[in-house]
Amino acid sequence: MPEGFNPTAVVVTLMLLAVTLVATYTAAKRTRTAADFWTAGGAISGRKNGIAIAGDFLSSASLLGISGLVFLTGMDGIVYAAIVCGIFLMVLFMMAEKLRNLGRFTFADALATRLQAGPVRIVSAISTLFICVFYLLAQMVAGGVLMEALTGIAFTWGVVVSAVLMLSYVLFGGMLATTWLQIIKAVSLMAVVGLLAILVLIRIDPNPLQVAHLASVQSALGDSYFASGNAYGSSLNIISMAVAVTLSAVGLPHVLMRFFTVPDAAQARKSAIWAISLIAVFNVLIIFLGLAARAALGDGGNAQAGAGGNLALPALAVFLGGGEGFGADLLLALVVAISIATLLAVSAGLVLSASSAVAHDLWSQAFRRPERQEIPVGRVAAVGIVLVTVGVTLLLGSGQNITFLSTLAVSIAASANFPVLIMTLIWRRMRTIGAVIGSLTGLISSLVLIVLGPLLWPTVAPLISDSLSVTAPFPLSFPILISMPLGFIGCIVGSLLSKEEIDDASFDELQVRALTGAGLDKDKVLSH
Amino acid sequence: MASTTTDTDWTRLWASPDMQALRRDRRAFFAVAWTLFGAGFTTLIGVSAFAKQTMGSEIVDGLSVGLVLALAYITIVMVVTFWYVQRARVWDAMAARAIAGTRFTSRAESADA
Repeated sequence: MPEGFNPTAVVVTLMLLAVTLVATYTAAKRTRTAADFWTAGGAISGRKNGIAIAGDFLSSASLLGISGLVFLTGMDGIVYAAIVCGIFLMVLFMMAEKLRNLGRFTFADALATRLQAGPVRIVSAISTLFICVFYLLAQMVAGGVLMEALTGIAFTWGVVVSAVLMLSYVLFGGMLATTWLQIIKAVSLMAVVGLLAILVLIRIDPNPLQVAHLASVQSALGDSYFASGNAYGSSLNIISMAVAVTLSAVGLPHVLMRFFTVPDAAQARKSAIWAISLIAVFNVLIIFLGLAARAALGDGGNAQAGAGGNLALPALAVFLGGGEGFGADLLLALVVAISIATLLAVSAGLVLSASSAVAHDLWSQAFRRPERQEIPVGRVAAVGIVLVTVGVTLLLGSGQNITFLSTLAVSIAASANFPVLIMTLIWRRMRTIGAVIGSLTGLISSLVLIVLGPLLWPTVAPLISDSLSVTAPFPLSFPILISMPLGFIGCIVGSLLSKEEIDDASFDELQVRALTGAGLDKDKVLSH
Repeated sequence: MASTTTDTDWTRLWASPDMQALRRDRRAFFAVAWTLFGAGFTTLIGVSAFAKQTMGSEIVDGLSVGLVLALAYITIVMVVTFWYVQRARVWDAMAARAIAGTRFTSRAESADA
């Protein structure tokens, strides 16, 4: 890996960013109403939205993380990549069309069609803020580290520059700019990954199976390279990973929000299908590139790939470019530019979703202020959220292991939001108090189990008392196997204890509307 | 909100024959689709969790059992996705028929705002 300042990488990154800023400028001119700001006026086509969703999901964690995982651990990385392909099938089967038929800007809109709006919006906003801020922190820390390693820009500056860029997308262009940013990124990401895969076939071996075989020969793990358990260890940990990953998007607010940017359920369906297909193609290619990195770099590649294997793909790009010179620089620069654009795009989506929870769910709906105040309030909230995140990121610094942050975000989404949403959609006896208790149990149990789990406990225990064992009291990295059932139990117990009358008519209305789109507010489609 | 009354008789709509046909068709699809998906998921994760070495045995050079299972899982996901698309086109028509001729009074969020 070339150390220090890398001019080619910086130039290519700046060119890609220039394109996204032009898109933001164009989007800013078309963003006037609250509907424009939050959901691009509901006028994005299913195909574009699907590409944007794939863009959202194929973060630098997928690009660098999965290829690194395959590079380091072989089969566990492959299984992980395969499981990721099922994520949006869950969204398609359980959420996409029904949410589009019921909601306007946020998933809390769908809850409010049959439960009391005030309380459910407040708890949804709390969990949304937790999820977005934790996720954002993970992105910012990873981003600072990545910029430092790949372009030579100091961690602090990397974080500040990405915060300013990301805020400008959100503040000026709202959802339309964020969507275009995702589309530009997704398309360039697929192109780069495709190009690298072709180069592997040309430079290493035209037969993909031979590349895989070479990878196991080159790995120090030898025959165990293709056995499972190298990364996740115990059987229970493998199962909890698979369940957690599969259900990771059904409650993520910034992902659910994307389904409100299309005009109707048929387009929402199309979005999910595009997302599923692109993610599947991407993951098959990224498995291949991870194996190719091992085949090309051999076991000596461990040093180049870094501790977490995150730099395996950039190292492969350098190898494919001929090791040094302009070709290697250019391929590396492409990977760097895409990683940074990815990070900015995902962060912008998160900020938008968090500020929509503040401005739409809390300010205009729960506190009943006029809807026209949503954009200014949303902008103030966005600035506040980013300032807090940048502050915490700089305090944490680049040395921290932050994997627990994204695990935490995903666990809260699956344990606090998902049970409440699905029970509201399918269970006749669901009541407001059930939603409140379910959401809070899911949120609190995720937080507690992560602190007690192997990702965080070794850091936390010495802070409490020297005599505490650093062996985590809770064995699983992903707490979803426990916290999600607790979220469901919260919904059920809360609803059964509730004195609120069961409103059959409103449940029938929700079901009819969810399946047919009847009574859907079409105004925002016509306004564009 | 939940107590707001509307002119539309949603309960009658929900129980209408057209809606029941739609619900039956959806149930039939999801029963099979979830079973297929569940079978794929259980096989991949089951073997991965409980037969770790089996995952690594190579059928031919480079093609291990685990790789076949992973690719099979991705294929199942794609197959049920596209099968869903086909069924959903039929459901769109059935849903349109079920609510045809009904006038809707929009409530909830619009009444609330």
